[in-house]
Amino acid sequence: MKKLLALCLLAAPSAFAQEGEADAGVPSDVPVAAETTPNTLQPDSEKIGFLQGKVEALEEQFATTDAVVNTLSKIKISGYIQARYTYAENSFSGVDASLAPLVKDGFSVRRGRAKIEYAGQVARYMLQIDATPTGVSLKDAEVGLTEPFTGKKYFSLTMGQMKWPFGYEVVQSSGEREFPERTRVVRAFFNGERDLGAELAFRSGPVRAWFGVFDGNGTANRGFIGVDNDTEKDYFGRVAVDFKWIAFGVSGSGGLTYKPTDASGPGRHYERTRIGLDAQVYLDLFPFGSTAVKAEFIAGRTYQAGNVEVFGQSALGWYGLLVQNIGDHEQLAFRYDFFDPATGVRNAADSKSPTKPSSRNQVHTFGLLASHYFDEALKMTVVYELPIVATSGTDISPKQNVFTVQLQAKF
Amino acid sequence: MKRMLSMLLVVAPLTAAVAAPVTVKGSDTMVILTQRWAEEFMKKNPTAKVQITGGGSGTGIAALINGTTEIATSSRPMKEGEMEKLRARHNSAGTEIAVAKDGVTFYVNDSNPLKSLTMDQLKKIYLGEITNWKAVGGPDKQIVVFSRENSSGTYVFVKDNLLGGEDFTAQAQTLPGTAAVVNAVSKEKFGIGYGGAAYAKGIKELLVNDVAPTLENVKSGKYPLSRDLYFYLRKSASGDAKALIDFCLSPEGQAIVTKVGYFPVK
Repeated sequence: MKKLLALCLLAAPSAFAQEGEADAGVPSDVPVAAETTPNTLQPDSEKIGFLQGKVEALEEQFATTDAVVNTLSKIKISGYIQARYTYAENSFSGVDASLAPLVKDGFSVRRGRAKIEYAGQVARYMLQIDATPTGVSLKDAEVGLTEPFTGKKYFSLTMGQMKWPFGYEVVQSSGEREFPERTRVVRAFFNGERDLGAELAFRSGPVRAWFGVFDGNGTANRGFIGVDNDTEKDYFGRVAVDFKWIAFGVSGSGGLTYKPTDASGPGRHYERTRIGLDAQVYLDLFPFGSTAVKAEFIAGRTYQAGNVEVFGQSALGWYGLLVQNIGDHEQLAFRYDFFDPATGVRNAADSKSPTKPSSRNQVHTFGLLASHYFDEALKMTVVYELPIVATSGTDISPKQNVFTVQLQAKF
Repeated sequence: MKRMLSMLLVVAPLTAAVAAPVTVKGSDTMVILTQRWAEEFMKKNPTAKVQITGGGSGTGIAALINGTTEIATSSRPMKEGEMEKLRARHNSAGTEIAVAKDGVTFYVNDSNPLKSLTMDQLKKIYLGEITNWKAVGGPDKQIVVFSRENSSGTYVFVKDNLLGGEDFTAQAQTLPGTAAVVNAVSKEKFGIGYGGAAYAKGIKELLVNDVAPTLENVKSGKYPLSRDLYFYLRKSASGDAKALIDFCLSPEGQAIVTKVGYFPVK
């Protein structure tokens, strides 16, 4: 790209130079064009002098062009679009004449991301927006500072709106994740994945560490988006080790959240805590493709359901993911995802509708995936997800199976 | 459910296995070495085909991630960001094989009286803090600095190991390939450039901290700017690619390394 830009920028003045030579009456600010081509009667020294001047002029132009191209090469533009067809059963909404669950299906643009980044010697800039039929929203707006003191870039500081530095799946890009959606436990504890705050990162060899201070409400907490409703901050920490074929980490966060009105009084603070463990292993077991095994466990107190906080409620969840590549273009994956939205509370039937399980029951989700990479930019993913809600006897798990076909273009 | 399964089967395509040449792409520093290896390898294995292209270490690794080359050659270790992309796309940490050693050599024109520079002097020259040869004991002439493109592994190596990650002087002239750097230095009396030892014919190699880039010094690590040259694969090698790598690491392959001007790993 840099090469192409340099060539284009160089070619432009050369074109003018040629025009200048053809038309002696047209003045040119390019030194080469102002000179006359040496003829056969000129002595060698003059010819050499002429050519030397020409080379020096080109060198000058090249130096200017190179400086421009060097600046441009620090800017990176990327993005991806995920267009989707979804076929979702939902027996909670009722059944048809043959007692099959009602179905909601349709096309959607799940994500339409455009990202622009600048990485200089010390400064970093990153802005990412998400444009979908439902609107345009800001995803990331980061100002970064990379320490210039050691020359090894051990530390970096980031402020703005960014992902919480917690675990593996929270920070993993949706453009690179195998399954189109994150697991239930991550969606509950880290709804929107992003928040306003500051983060200090350290990396040396295989060791990485992050420490962050955030407002705590995130970007999806209805009524509190972009604001801190209390003076309390949430503190995040993560330490991870990456040996290339195996990586693992431990994460934790703690803070308080304020519930403005409460049955017991005018309002009070609730604990908002999380702890997590994660590991990823990359194996070379079969001749036809690589294998990856990934797992993560998260437990904590206060999470979000339907973009509203469930104050003080303890919950936990984990997932295991097995991914098998077949050749360079095919990928198969299986994911088991467990979420207990109310730890210590027994699975029960809904108090108002005894045939339905309670919304506080555990959920087991099985997912199967097949992906095909057409090239480095285009991927098609087909997913079938089967959630099973734990029951207590009188109730039955609703049919909420989801079939998704997603086409993703990324650059 | 039936409908869903049939949809799943329709969109799950199969790829046919097609015999193809072993594609090798990447480091410009390693192009000549890889060509020599491939020539000898194909003589011994007439049915095998090897295709070699340069473009720089970064280009080779990008091609490896995109699946457009089987082997990427690189004169620097894979970067963290590249490793993350490889893992995300192929669920593999890749296979890294050191196939030769090299000392990044600094060249000056034959007519330059200097024989040695310290790491600090070189760093200051390439950061633009020293711009006249007089400051390092040479003639009172402006230093003409030649460098490589940022897709080059040699560029990254010098930036990380000599400049401590800082940017090259804006006055450095970027040239496409080490051969071009050598050519430029041989023609520019007051020039300085860098590259692999294999390209250092016809110009003067500088000692660094009074240490020459010899086999002993590079192997022992005494020469301060020595490095490994790598092959990267998405996973462990098989078929012709494995046979090629085995040949490169064999005594015969390592003898070619020495002939080309690099240093063997075995």
